[in-house]
Amino acid sequence: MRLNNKWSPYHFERKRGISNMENARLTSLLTVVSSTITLSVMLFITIGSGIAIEYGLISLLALIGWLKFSYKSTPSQTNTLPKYILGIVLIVALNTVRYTADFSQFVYLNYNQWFTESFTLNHMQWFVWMVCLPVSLLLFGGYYLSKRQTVGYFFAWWGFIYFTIESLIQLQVELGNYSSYNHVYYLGLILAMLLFYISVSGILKLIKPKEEEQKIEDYQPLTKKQKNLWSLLLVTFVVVYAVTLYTQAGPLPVGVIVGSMMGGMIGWRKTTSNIPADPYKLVPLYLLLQALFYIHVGEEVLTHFNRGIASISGHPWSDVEFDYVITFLGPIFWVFGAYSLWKRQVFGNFILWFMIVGMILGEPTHFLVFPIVRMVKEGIGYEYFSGMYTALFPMIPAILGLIIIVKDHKKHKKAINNV
Amino acid sequence: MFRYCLLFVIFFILSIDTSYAHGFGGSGFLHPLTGIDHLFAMVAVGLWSAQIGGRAVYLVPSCFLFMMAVGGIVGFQEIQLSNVEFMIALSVLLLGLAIFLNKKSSIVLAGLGVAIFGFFHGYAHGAEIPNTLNHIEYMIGFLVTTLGLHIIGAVSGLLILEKRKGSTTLRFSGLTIFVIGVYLTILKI
Repeated sequence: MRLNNKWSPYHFERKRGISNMENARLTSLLTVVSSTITLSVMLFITIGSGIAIEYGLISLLALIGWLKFSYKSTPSQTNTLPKYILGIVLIVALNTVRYTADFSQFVYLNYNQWFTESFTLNHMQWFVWMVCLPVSLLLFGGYYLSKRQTVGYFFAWWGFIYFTIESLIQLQVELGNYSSYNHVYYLGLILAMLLFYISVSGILKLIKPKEEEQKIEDYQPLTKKQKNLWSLLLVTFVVVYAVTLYTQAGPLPVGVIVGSMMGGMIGWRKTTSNIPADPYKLVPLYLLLQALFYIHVGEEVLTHFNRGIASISGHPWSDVEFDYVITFLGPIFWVFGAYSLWKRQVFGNFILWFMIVGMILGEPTHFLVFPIVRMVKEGIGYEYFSGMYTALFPMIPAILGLIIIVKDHKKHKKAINNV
Repeated sequence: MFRYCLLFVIFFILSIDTSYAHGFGGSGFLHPLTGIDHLFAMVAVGLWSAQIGGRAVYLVPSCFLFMMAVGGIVGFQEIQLSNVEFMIALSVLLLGLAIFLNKKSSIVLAGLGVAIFGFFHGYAHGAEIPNTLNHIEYMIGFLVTTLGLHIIGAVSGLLILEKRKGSTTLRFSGLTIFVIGVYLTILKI
C-alpha cells in the first residue's frame, strides 16, 4: 500500500509536479507581459499610436481573459483550435479583399494622425506590420495551442479578440460614410461578419470550455477508387496551377512549386493516403512551419523576390501578381490545410506533404540555385538573393514532420504485417 | 456544413477579387480562371455530369468544350451578339439549379443544354482576345484550362457522391452555385 502522508516520496513528487507546473505558468505569464509591452512600445515609436493602441488593448484584454478563465486549468484544445485556425484563414482572406480595395492607402489618407511623422504607410509597410506580423504571431500561437500549452491559451484569447476588433473595424469601414473606400462588392462585409461569428463563438468556448473533449473525426480508409479520384483531382489542380503560374512568373518558380506538389503527391500516395497523419503530432509542427514560412514570405515581399526572379529568368513577374498568388491566395489554402489536417482529411494530408517537400527541396534554391544562376547570367559574385535569410528555418519543422510520418508509416505497416 | 459554406464564400471572394482586377494578362490559360462566372459555370458542368453519372461524366463536358471552341471562333470573327454576359450569368444560375434539383436528366438533354452555354462562354473568350495574340494559341489556352475545371468539377462530384450524405452535399453545392448565379444575373440585368 502506498504511504500517502506528507512525508511519503509520492507526496514530494506530487508537490514537485505542481510546483513545476506553477513555474511554467509563471514563466509564460512573465514572457507574455514583457513581450506585449515591448511590442506595443516598439510599434508606438516606429509606426504610431494607432497600431500600438490596437495591439496594446488586444493584449491587455487577452491577458485579463487568459488569467481569469484559462490560466489555472488548460482545457482541451480540440474545442478551440479548429475555430482559431479558421479565424486565421478568414483574416488572410479579409486582407486579400483589403489589398484589392487599396486598404493601406485608405487608412493612411483617413487616419494620418495615428502614424508617426517619419512613417509612410504604403502597401509593403501595411503587409509587414498589419498582415505578416499578426498572422505569424497567430500561427506561432497555434503551435502552442495545438500542443495544449498554457501560453497557447493566451494566444487563443489574443487571436479571438484580434479577430473581433478587426471584424468591427471592417464593418465600420464598410458601413461608415466613407466615399473614398472601394467596397469590392462588399465582400469585406461578408468576411467581417463571418470573422465576427467565429471570434465570438471562440471567446464563448474559452469562457465556458466543455468538459468532454470534442472527438476528432474518425477516418475512413480511402478505397482504391477514392484514392485514384483524389490523385486525378490533385494532378489536375497542379496542372492548372502550373499553367497559371507559368504565364505569370515563368519557368523557374513553376519548377520549384510544381515539383514540390508532385513530390508531395507521391509521398501522400505512399503514406498518409492509407492512414492519415496523427493530428496531435503533426498539426503543431505544421503550424510552426507555416509561421516560419510566412515570415519568409514577409522577407520576400520586403526584398522583392518577384523582381529577383524576373531578372534571372527574363520573364516579368509584377508585384501585384506576386502579392496575390504568394502572399494572400496561397496562404489561405496553406493555413486551411492545418484545419483539414486536424480533421484528418485528404486535402490537409496532401498539403502537409506538399509543404514538407517544398521546404526541404524547394527552399534551399534560395542558396543553391537562384544566386548561382544570377552569378552565371550577370557575372557577379555570390550575393544576397531575396528570401535567403529566412529560407531554411521552415525546413526544421518540415524535417521533424517527415521523420514522424515515416516512423508512423513503418509502425502501421509492421502492425498490418503482424496481423 | 459551416465549413462548406465558408469554403464557398472564400472561393467566391477570391474569384471576384481576381475578376475585379481583370488581370488575365491576355493569356488564354488565365481567362477562364479570372472571371467568377466562367469559373463557377465550368466547375458546375463537371459537378452536374458527375451527378448524372455513367457516360455523362465525359460526354457532357465534351459538348461544352466543343461548342466553346465554336463560340471562340465566332468571337474571333467579331460577329456581334447581344446579351452574352447575361447568358453566361444565366448559365451559372441554371447549372446550379440543375444540380440542386437532382432530376434524372438524359445525357442528350444535358449535353444540349451545356453546349448552348459553352457557345456563349467561348464567344466571350474569343471576342476579348487581345490583338497581339495568336488565335490558335489563345484558344488552346482557354480550352485546356476549361478542361481542367471540368475535371476538377467532375472528380469533386464523384468524390462527394462517395460520401455517406454525398448526394445531399452535392445538392447543397448546387444551391450555393444557384445563389451565386442569381446574384450575377441580377448584376447583368
